[in-house]
Amino acid sequence: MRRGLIAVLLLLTPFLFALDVAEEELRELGTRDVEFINYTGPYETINTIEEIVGIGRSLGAGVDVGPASSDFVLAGRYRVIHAVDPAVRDRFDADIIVPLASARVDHINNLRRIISGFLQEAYTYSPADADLLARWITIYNAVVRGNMEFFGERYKPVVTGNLTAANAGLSRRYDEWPGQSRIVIPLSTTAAPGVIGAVDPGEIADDRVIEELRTLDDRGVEERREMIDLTERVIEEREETVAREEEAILREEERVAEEEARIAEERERIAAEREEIAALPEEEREPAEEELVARDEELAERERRLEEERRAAEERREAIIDDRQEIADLTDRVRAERERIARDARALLDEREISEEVRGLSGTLSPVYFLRIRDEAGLILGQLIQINPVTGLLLNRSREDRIVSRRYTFHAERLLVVVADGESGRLAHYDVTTLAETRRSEDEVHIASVMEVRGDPARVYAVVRSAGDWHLGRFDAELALVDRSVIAVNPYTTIAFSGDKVWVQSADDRIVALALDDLRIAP
Amino acid sequence: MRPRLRQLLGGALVCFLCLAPALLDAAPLPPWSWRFIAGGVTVGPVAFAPDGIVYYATGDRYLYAVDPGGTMIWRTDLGVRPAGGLVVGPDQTIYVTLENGGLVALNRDGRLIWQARVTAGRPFAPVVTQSGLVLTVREPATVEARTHTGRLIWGIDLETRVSTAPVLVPDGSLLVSGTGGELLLVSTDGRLLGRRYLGEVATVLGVTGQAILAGSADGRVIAVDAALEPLWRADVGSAIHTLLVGSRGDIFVISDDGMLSRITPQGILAWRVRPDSGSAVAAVAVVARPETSATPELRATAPADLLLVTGTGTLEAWSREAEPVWRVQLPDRPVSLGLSPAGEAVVPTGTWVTYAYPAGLTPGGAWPQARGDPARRGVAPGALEGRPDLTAYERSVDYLALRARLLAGGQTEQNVAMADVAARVRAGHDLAGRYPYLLQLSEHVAGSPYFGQLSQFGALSAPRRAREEAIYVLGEIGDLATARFLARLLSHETDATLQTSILASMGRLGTPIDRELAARLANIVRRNAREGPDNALGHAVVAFVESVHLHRGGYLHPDVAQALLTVAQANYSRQVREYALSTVRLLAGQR
Repeated sequence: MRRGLIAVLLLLTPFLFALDVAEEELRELGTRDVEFINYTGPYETINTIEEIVGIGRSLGAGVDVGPASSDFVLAGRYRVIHAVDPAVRDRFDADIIVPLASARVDHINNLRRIISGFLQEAYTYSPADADLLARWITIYNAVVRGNMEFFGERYKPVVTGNLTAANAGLSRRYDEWPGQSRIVIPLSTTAAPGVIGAVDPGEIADDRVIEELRTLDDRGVEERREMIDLTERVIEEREETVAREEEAILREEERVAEEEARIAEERERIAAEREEIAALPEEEREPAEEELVARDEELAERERRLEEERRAAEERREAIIDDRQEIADLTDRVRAERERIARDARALLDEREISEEVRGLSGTLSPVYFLRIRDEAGLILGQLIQINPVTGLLLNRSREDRIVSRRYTFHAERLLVVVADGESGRLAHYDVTTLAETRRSEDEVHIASVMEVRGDPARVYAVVRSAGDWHLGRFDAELALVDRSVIAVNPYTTIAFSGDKVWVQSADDRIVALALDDLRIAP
Repeated sequence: MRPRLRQLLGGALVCFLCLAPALLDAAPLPPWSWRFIAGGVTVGPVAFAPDGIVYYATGDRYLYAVDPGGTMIWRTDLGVRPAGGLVVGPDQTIYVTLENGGLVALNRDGRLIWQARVTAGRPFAPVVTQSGLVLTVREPATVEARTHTGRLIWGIDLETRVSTAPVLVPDGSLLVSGTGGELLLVSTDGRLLGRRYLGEVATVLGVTGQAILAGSADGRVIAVDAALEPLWRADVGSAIHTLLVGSRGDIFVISDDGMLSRITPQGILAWRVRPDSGSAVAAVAVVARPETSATPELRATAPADLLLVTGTGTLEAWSREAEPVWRVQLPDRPVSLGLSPAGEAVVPTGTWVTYAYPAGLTPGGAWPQARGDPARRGVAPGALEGRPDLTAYERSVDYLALRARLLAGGQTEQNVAMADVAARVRAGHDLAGRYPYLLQLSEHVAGSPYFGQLSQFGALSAPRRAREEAIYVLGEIGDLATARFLARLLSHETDATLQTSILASMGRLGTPIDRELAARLANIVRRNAREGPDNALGHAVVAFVESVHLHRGGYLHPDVAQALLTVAQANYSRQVREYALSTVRLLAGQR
């Protein structure tokens, strides 16, 4: 019985797990971050996440985020400048977080935790909202890094006075944070602890930041949705504030009107009493008139105060008009961004469907393959991407993003490139549909080596290291080295074919012909 | 059979039975029929038009109309965030509540017909009756009624803050719950019919054929009869936020702890379960009758009574015994669920994407959860349709006096009495307790030459002035039945002046133009053009068509277009002719 049961279980096991595999495949496109270069080496000490957030909290607790500027330094490593100037109305105040020269933060996630901790403590943001804002703040500062014209247009002099072209914003390199970056957090006019809109969401979700997020695999759709939610809450908060203010102004105006009515009545009474006084004997008239004059003066004083109060109420009404306009502008921006997010989400879903179709595409409709490059400290690195030739949409990209060859070629029904592998290079095959790496050569090739495919069966020719020198190597379909030249070659050599010979530049810079069959000097 | 072989087969059978649910899980996922991405998360329920168009409001302040293939037909900018109330009325007018206390009425093209501020805060979903009456709650304690044209008819102060959206009960009255733990019944003409203290605050209301139900914040379902006398109580253990009545009278309840419960019509708690995934039940839709999904991909093994979505993102069909029949993993977390007339499960999700799955199940259950279901227009099962019996007003002095003067008095009395009624309407008087008989008496007077012999009071004859006033009143406060009445009246009326008045009133009511009415319009115009055009009548025809276009949207009958062209080409004044031409352009979408 037991053996029968086990047999059945074994038979059925594959079916039990099939669904899990299918679910895995459904979640193929992950969310990559905007490019920040972080330290990847060993650590002397490791802090917990709570400790790192705690740095930010300490900053938030130490600085005074009131209506006056203030400054706080934490343990000589981090500084926060609360730069505000109520006298200037049309630009932003800001909190500036400064990793000082001795700061040791070297990963963007930790920097974001510090910012998040600061926001949680200084403005009582929830951890979720603070984390979200911290992400956007770092991207915002990276996008506008060093752009003093931008900062000058948007921020008050009290803020820009703390920035220079060399340190404004956030570098994308961790080693340019301590002492060389100043992270600017734009504050709204209503910034105060407990106000969701303390950090101005409209500013940190600037179009430039959104475009930066749209370069990601998933176009930053989820991040942008979360920011939309936060911004909607800010709009609600501001609408409630404006509504309360309107109510208060209305009550004030009513009070002023009532007071004016009382004053008018009093004036009438005074006028009536003045007539009565005129009929009195002189010795009684004078003191009575003096009293009336005093009352007149008091009324005048009250009227003067009322006039000031009425003007103040009018100014508050005008301010509300401005506030309502700001809310309307922010609402319009939110709605426009919603449209963009919906379009991007549709495009993403279409891409996924199209990549399913790519598997069955005919030759004329094959996707376009492209090597997208970037410059990493002078080193040109690339990533394979796949483009729908009809729509131009990005279909897929390889996980490997350290391809050093400047072109790709096809070999054994795969894409062939040279990838960086530590300090050296390797030949690598990639699946034409999924752009997944299928094979990598064990032998080292020069990172600047050209690749040529020739022959039947097709062989790959590239510059390979052997016994400490560079040689012309020949690789089979498995990217295994099957042959190499006897002579050493210049690693940057061209590889040219003519008949049964292959021409290369030798290590001593002579152009020589090698026989194709054995890669020895051709007769 | 050898013992060992028997053992092997028995073991295999046991394994199969144990693993059957997993096998069900391993069924290939059916593709969605369509998906649509809006600019925000869906707020409130999904509603459907008879032709399968899906309506839903989203956080980007739009109301979307999506066709059965998943293509957006239109979207309307609501301007303000929706508050979650969405109802399709019997004339396909779409009512949407807004967070600023507003209620908008849109036609089937998404064009605004009217809007009103119904309350200060966030409004409850409106109740729309078969006659088109729109019932809303004005915080804290007032129920108001508007006609389908937005005209405020009456309001009644219940002296208790309303706790949840009201519902209609089988006899056609409105059930309201108060935060003091009571239930109230209000007639649709604005009279308080009864009040019963329950002792618990209702968070959701429902009806079956035999009982009125209240789900409470204390986790109980309380059933009372039509006279608000208690029948039974059932405890589900946690505050109730959703209550649906199934096709066989079962009551399905979702509580705050995410459990789904079934209570029998007799008030017995049959079961209380959580889906196998362990997550909370997010929303439920009831199937018309237990039926097996017609979709082969789902490989349904048993009939399904209800459809639900869970917090972990599954769409499941269950039998009434809480047995999963089939299950689908959704791509995203669902926020709502609707079952379309075409049998598709429409699932809005938190990522702004709405999916439609071919569930192959017919929507059903009892109102009110079937709001938007074309089979049930917002009227409770068994609820009255047509005009109420006026014997309920036999103790009303006003009614008796008016009836005597209008239906039995001389012409002068009729003129004076009808002018009195018209004056009340012009002044915007509250018509609570009066609305039905004012409407019906006005119909009697307006239709007197043609329908008088049908009156229960004998043959009726009314002078022209009284009839004109009556027609005006009907145009101001009439309901959907009035619109049909006026169309019938127009088919009989030959006097051009009265035809003009009738057309004006029909225009105010947005009377739909069917083939018969279209032909009648064409005849009226042809005859009028032939006999010497009456500009007022010509203008009235054009104005009527224009207003119906506003109310109804869509394509109008070719006879109507012909009638307009006849006006444009006949000897009417230039102003009337130009008006006719511009209206033709409007219908053609060129204006």
